[in-house]
Formats: sequence, structure tokens, C-alpha cells
Amino acid sequence: MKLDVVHRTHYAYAAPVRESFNEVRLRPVSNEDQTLDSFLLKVLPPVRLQDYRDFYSNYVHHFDIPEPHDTLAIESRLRVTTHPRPGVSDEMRPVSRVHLKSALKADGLYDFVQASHYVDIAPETWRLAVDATQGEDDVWQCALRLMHFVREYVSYQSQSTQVHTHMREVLVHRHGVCQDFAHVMIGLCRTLQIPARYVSGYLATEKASATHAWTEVFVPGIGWVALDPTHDRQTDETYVKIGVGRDYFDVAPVKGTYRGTTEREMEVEVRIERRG
Amino acid sequence: MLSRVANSLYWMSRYIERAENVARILEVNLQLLLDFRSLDDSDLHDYWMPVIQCTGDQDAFLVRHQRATAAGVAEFMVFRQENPNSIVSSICQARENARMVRDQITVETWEELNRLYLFVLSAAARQMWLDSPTDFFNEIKRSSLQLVGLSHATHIHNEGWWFTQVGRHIERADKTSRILDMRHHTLPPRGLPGAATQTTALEWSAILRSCSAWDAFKSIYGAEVNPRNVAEMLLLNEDFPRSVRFCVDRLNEALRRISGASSQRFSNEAEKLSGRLAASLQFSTIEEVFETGLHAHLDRLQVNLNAIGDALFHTYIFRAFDTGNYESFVQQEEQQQQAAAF
Amino acid sequence: MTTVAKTRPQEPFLGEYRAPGFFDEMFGRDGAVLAHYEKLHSAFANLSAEEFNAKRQSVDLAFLRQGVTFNVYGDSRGAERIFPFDLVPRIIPAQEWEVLERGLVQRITALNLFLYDVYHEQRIVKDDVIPAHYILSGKHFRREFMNFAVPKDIYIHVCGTDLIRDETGGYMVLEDNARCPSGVSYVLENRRAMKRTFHNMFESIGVRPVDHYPQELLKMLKYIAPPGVAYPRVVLLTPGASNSAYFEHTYLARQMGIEIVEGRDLVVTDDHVFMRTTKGLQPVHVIYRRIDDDFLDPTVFRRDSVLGVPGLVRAYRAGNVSLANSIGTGIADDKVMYYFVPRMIEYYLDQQPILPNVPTYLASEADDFKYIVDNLDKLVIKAANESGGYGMLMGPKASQFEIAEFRRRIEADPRNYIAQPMISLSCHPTYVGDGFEGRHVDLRPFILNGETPVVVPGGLTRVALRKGSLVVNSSQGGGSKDTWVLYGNE
Repeated sequence: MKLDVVHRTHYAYAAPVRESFNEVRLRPVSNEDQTLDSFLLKVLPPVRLQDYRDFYSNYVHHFDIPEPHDTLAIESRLRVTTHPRPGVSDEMRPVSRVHLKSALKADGLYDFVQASHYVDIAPETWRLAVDATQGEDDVWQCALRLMHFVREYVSYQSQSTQVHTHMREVLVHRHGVCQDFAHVMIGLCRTLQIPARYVSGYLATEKASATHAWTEVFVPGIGWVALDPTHDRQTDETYVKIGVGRDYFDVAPVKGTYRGTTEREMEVEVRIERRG
Repeated sequence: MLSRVANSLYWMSRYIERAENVARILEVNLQLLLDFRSLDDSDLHDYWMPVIQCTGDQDAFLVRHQRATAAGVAEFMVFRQENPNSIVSSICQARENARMVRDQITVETWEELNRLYLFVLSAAARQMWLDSPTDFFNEIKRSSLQLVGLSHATHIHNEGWWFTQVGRHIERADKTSRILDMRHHTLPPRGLPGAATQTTALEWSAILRSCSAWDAFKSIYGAEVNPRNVAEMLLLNEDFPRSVRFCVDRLNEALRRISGASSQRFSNEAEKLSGRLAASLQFSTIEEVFETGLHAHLDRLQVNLNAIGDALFHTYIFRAFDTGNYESFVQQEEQQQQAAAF
Repeated sequence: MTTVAKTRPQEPFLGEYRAPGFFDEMFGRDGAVLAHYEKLHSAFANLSAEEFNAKRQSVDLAFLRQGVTFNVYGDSRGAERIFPFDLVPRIIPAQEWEVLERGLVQRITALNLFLYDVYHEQRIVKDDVIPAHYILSGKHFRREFMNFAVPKDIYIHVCGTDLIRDETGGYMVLEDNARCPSGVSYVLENRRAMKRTFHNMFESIGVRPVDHYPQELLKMLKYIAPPGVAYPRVVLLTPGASNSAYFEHTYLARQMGIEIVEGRDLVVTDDHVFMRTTKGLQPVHVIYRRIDDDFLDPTVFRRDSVLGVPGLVRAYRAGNVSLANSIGTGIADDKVMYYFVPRMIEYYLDQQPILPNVPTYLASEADDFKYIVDNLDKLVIKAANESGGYGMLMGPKASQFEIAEFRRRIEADPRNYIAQPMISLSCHPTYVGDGFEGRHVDLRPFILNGETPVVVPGGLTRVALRKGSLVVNSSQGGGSKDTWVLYGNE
């Protein structure tokens, strides 16, 4: 699927602000599931853009604006070609959970079984995970059951949470948006020692107005597999992946600081079109 | 030098000067009180209110005390830390500023200021105050003068030193003008006052003594203590170190030494205002001042000094693209990730 | 076993000193004064109690007047306190010091190689010398810092390594402090006070000087400046006047003749660091930073930090500013990493450690865990990333309640606890109000790692002023002594 994405973030400040330092994670990766054809990042006021790859290999662009300004506009335009992916079928040979222990010795997985900024590993969560998986031994089946469970347990309600809502609040109130669904799923997996990580990206629906969040779980012998708990399904060509992290904290699309007034407004607009 | 450091040096010397001036004001007025045996309560109140107004603290005082008495006023202006302009508060703030720039001041200066700080907070200071307020005030003055002397004789006269000069002379000019203004309610709003009574002479002598100007005054005007002469001495005299004109001249010079501008020009707002003020003091006569009214004139002078202080702040402490105070950082708002509803 | 020190009769000084059964720095097992203390002892012998007291008080007064103080966190007044100073110096003979110096240089070399490796290829992990999870779980392992190029490949520029002696007098390393080790200003001030008070003694005894520390530090800071800068500007970055080590910050800045700045004085533009001055923005090339990584840059680390400089990490990454110590060095002074330092020395240098570690048990290793939990009342338990004596349990001296609390903590978070047997630290005669008694001491030498490692002779001897206490930290009732390293052939 060929997709054009425009992602615009606009800040308006009540009074001019200055010394603004920002990092953005907006550039999707290229991998076997998608090819990034082009990527353009524009910022106003004009800045010098620098970039690097972070610890999780995400593309990071960064810039600073020292002089006073009362608006900041960040726009990324990209073209990506997503490929069909086989997904994991139910007839796959089961992988027992005992293999997780040796898999965890691989150092790339350590971070994804620990607590992180928005996800903690608590006994109550573990109990929920145990109930949801009911003694299932196959890693993949566990992950699926947990995903179904999240879908049942949490209801999608936009504006019921905010960007810094922690997973434990979501578990209490049982509503949220895809960011929260992903955090809950990750928390449940981690209590069972299944490595799980957070994925930031886009979902090509006609009504898209924001980025999307889902998860990847690690199945020994297969690798990282994507699961979308908000829609209770594996991902397909309608998904564009930007990057991964332990949770939202590691892949926030835009984050930064500045000196000035706290009164400001942010508008985000995402437009996705299929071409050809 | 670091803007923040310039700021601290400026305030350090301003607060030391403030402490000294408050000590002077109080000492003289306590002495003077002894000469007025027959003041009743309301007279006392009228007597002391101008003293409190000298430091601009009348509102803070009246919140706590209904009437001004000697004990109440003295306690308020010496020890109370809720009064940001009390002697103890000023010394604490001076020391705090010094502490933040310890690498810029000499060891002797720090030790003397630290010693003064430990002293005013100690029980020994309280005891000295009870036994003899004069001794207490002398201690404050002595220490302040030692700090001034150390500053002159042992600090390198670099940019930072000139900032301390600015602070000291702005404060001294301001406080001298307020001391001068203390008896303004006994003066007519405009025009030279009439012949001085004995009370007037005593009161205006007290004003001179507050500024250590008594001997200098006598050498110029003999024994003729009257408002006109005293005002001329403290406002327009170009040679007496505590006169407003002298202080503004030094202030003007210090500003130019900092920026490197010549005395014929100004390179920033602060210099423009200080140059203008110096010129007006240079080219005024005391009769002209009384024509417009001494109090009105002194009021305007204080406003001008404040404006110079503000302009200084904006020129040196905040660079061109800073638009306000040292605000702390604010995080950009972050966007929640939410697929469109389906 | 106690011995009475044999001193000359009618000698007021140390006349009734009893070594309390631990290894004593000054007196041997038979109670005789050790050779390297003899001159000191006879010099002190000529002091009457009154004279000694007078000297002590004048030194205390000098410290108070100068404000040689530190702030104690948790003290409700946030007050400054004078760091108590004991006039009796600790003496180290030349040959003893020579071994210590070699051991410290060996250690810092290995630590530096470890840090380079851990932030690049991690060979030590791939070769199974250190399990990966210890590093990844380290509170101060900075993922943001992987594959960074640092100037001259030096990560630790200033290190304070704490040494103790056990009951045989053998030296061992208690811990390394590689983040922002403090105390060197007390070393310098203590020496000044001693010289003033005992000037005759210095000449006759022959003590190696320490006051070249600021020059060596400045030399090292200039050495790591970004290339191509003819006159690099060096500044010291402090959290500010309320920090416990603020006195030291201003002291060192003044001794080196450099500016001391706070985060708000700096601004990063176009990946270069500048100071806000009255004459506009002035470039900064090297920052000796006394702020922890977490607070250094709110755009990368803790976002609520008001002490830091936004954009500093970017400027560092671009190579436009150098930082001492580098970001990320905290993983080296993690107490769990300490356990592996002897292995680091063997792996990177192919040598045996000259200075041994204190025997250490890791709570996250199953066998060690069992041993620790069974012996809590005999061991010293330490949290992996605390300092200053906080987060520590002294088993033999703790109450049942405290022991239960620590058991709970270890079970909850075993990765972050280590245990060591309680070492009977050496003792040193110390004035305690009405005479001299033995008090436990340790030693913190300071190592500067620039073009070559430089160790200042001696360091800070810290003494636990409370009787029987083994806790020497300033924030918990410790004091200090001057440390004298003698010239050779003594």
C-alpha cells in the first residue's frame, strides 16, 4: 500500500517564548514490512535540523530556537510503501514459556521486561495476566489472550485520559485511548516475563487525526511480532511504524522545553492518503 | 562577567549600604527623642512615622502596630525579618548575595561580612542593644565602613567592582534623599520656609547627623541650621560624599566605566538617565528646588533613581533577547497517541 | 585486648591513650609509637593541654570565619555546618604510599577502559565477564550515551576512591566515587590550617605538598578541550548555594581562577555553549560539572530539572563542549559494578589487582542472597546507588526493626543491594573533648585522570567522631584530619 502522510503539530503561546529545545521522532523506519520512500521535515520558525539514532535505533531529529517566537509549527511529510505481511498463523508450532528464560539472557530484551515510565509490574497486574492466560504455556497464545483481554477490559473513550496517564490509572478506570491500551498490554506481558515493547506510528484510516500506538511482543524462535490491542488484531499494511521504546516516554513524537509562559495551545493534525 | 554575578555584587553592596543608613537614621532619631521630653502618644506617632516612611515600610509596619512607639519602631527596623528592609534582613541578604559570588570577593571582605551576619543574629547583639543602642548602631556603621574600605583598598577595580559602586551610590543617594525628606510635613509645599524655630533647628540638625554631615555643614554654613542650608548641603553639594549630587556623579562615572562610554555620551538607557540626573543636580539652585517644593522634588528624584536601577537591570543582567525574568523551563505539551475512533 | 600506650611519663599529650583493640595508625601492637609517627609524637609532647586547646579553638574559629562549611540535607534549617577538624594528622610513610598510588592508578585505568567499552562494543559483556543485566539495570547507565565519542577517550576525570585498613593493617578499597566526588577542598583547607598552626613541625618532618591540586585539575580540564580552540574557557557548573558541597565549588573555582556558573547562566545555541555575561554571550569550551547526570539537561534527562542546561547534551554530542566527568560515569561507581572491578583489571590490563576489594556479596546472585539474608545481623548492607552513608545497614549494630526493614528491601529489589562483612576499620588517636581516644578512620585519595593519572599525596582522612561508630561521612557525624605523606627514606 502506498501512503502519503502529513503530520502537523502547531504550538501557539500566549506570549513570546524563547530558548526552545526539541526532539522529534517522526521519521518511520524501513524494514521488511515497509519502505520509506521519502521524508521531509519542516519547522517554523526556520531552524537547523540535526539528527541521530537513539538507543532503540529510532530516528531522532532535534533543533533549538533561541530567539523569542510565539508559534512553533512542525510538519513532516512522508511517503511510505507498506508491504503485506504473513502474520503469525494459529497453526504455528507452539513455543513454551520456559524458553523465555534463556531468551532473556540476550541483552536486547532486558529493557522490555522491566518496569518503565508509564508501566509498572505489580502483583495485581500479574493476577489479571494469570487469569487471562489460564495456564496457557505457548508464548504466542498467551500474547493473543492478553490482547483479547485488554480489549474486553478497557473501553475506548477518547479524551478520557491525558498524555501522561500511567498504566495503573487505566487499570482502575478501565478506559482510555490506544496509547493506554498499549501500556496495559505491555504491562500484562511483562508480568509474565514476555518481552513487550511500545510502537509509535500511524494507522491509515480515513478519519485519522492522530498517531497510533500498538505493541510488539517477543516470541522465542520467531522474534518481534506486532499486536494492536486497541483493535484486537495483528498489524497489516494499513500500519506505518515510526519507532519503538519501552513505552510512550521513549518515542513521544514531539518533546521539548522552552523558557516562557505555560499558557499555550497545541493543535495536531494527521492526514493520510492512499495513492495509486 | 556573568550577569548573575554582576547582579549579586550590585545587591550585596546595596544591602550593606542600606543597613548602615537605617542604623544612622534610627540612631539619630532615638537621640533626638531624648530632647523632646514632652511628647505624648500622638506626638510620638507623628514623630516616628516619617522615620518609617524613610525606608518605605509604613504599610508593613501598620499591619503589625497601631501606633508608632520608640520600642516598636526600633524593633521593627532593626531586628524583624518580616521587614525586608530591617537591618538584620539587609545584612542577611547582603551575605546571601556575597555567598553566591564568593569567588569574586576577597577573603577579608567575606570574613567581615560573615562576622557581621553572625553577630546580628547572636544573643550578644540583643544584649548590646538592650544595654546601649548607640553601641549597637556604632557596630553596624563600623562594620559597613570597614567593608567599604576593604572594597576600595583590596578589591581589584574591575567591572565587578564598578557594579558594587553603582549599588552603593544608588542606595546612598536614595537614602539621603529620604532622610532629607523626613521633616517635609513641617515645610510649606512650595517656597522657602520661614525662620527656623528651636525645634526646627533640632530636627534639622538630626537630619544632618544622620548623614554624618554635621561637621562638614558647620565648616560651610556656620551654625545656621535651617531647612534651606541643610537641603542645599545634602542635595546639591558636589564635595560631600553623602550628598545626593556626589552619589549621582559617582554612579554616573561607574556606569560609564562599565560600558566604556565617555562621559559626553550615553550608550544605554541607564547611562542616559543617570547623565540627565547628574546634569539637573549640577545646574540647579536650592531656591529653584524649593520653588517646586522640596518634597515633590525628592519624590521625583527617587523615581528617577528607581528608573536607573531598572534600566541597569535590563541592560546588563538580561541580554537582548531575554524578555523577562529567569523563568524556569516549561515542557512542550505532548500529543497523546490515539487512533481515530472506529 | 587493650594496650596502654607507652609514652614518656608526665607527658600530657596522649598520656592515657588506649588503643581500642583495632589496628591503630599510630601505635603498634606493643603500644610503642610507630616509626613514622615518632617525630610527630615528640613534637606534640611539648604541648601542654592548654596550648593544644588554644590551637584547636583558633583553627575552628578560622574555619567558621571563612565559612568552610557544608549543608546537610534533611536538616530543617538547611543550615551550614563546620566540618569538624581534628588536629592530629594521619601519617603515611613513603613506601606505603607508593603501593597505594600504583594501585589507584591501576584502578582508574581499568575503570576508564570499562566505561569506554560499556558505551561502545561491550566486549566485557560479550566475553561473559560481567552479565549484561547488571549493566542494563544500573540506575546510572545512560542509554542516551551509547557510541558517543568523548574527548581523548577519557570518561572519569576526577575520582575519589575510599580506602580502609582491616585489623592486620592491610589496605583495601571500600568504594570508588566517580560521579562528583567531593572533599578535596577540605584537604587543601586542612593543610593550610595545619601549616599555620604547626609550621615548625612541617619543616622538621618533611611532608609532601598537596596544594598543586588546583593547578593539576585545571591542566587536566584544558587537556580535554575541544580541538582547535586556542584559549579554551573552562567553567565550573554548580547546582548552587544550597548544595552541600557549595563551599568546595567556589573554593576550587577560585583556586583555579575560573568562573563558577549555574545552569541558568549558560545557554546553548547552535550546539555551542555560551555564558550570559554583561558583555553578551561568551563561548564556553570545558565544563567541570558538579551536577549529577539526571539534572544536567532537561531535554534529555529529568525534565523537571531546573539546575541544568537545555541542549547541553547536544552540544556535547557535537563535540563543541567537553564535560568532566563525562556523562554516564555513574555506572562505574555503582556498588554492584564495584564487585567486578578486580575482574575488570584482569580483563583489560591483564594484571592482578594491587589493591583488593572488600569481600562482597551480590544480593541478586542466588547463593549470595541466601547467605546475606541468613546473616543480616553480621553484615554491612549497602544500596547500590546511594552515597553519604544513606541506604546503609550496619548489621551488628542494627535493631531488629531495622534488620527486618532491610530484609524487606533486599527481597523487593535484590539487584540494588550488596553486602560486606563489617571490617574493623583502623583507628587513630583523635581529640574527643577531654583527651584522646581512638576513632575509626578511612582515607579518600583524589585521582586526576588527564594526560596521565595524577594522585595527590594523601587525600582526605575522614574520622568517625562518635565513639565506636564506623560511619565517617560528613553528613552523619564525621570529621576530618590532615593526611601527611612523608618524603622517601623515612
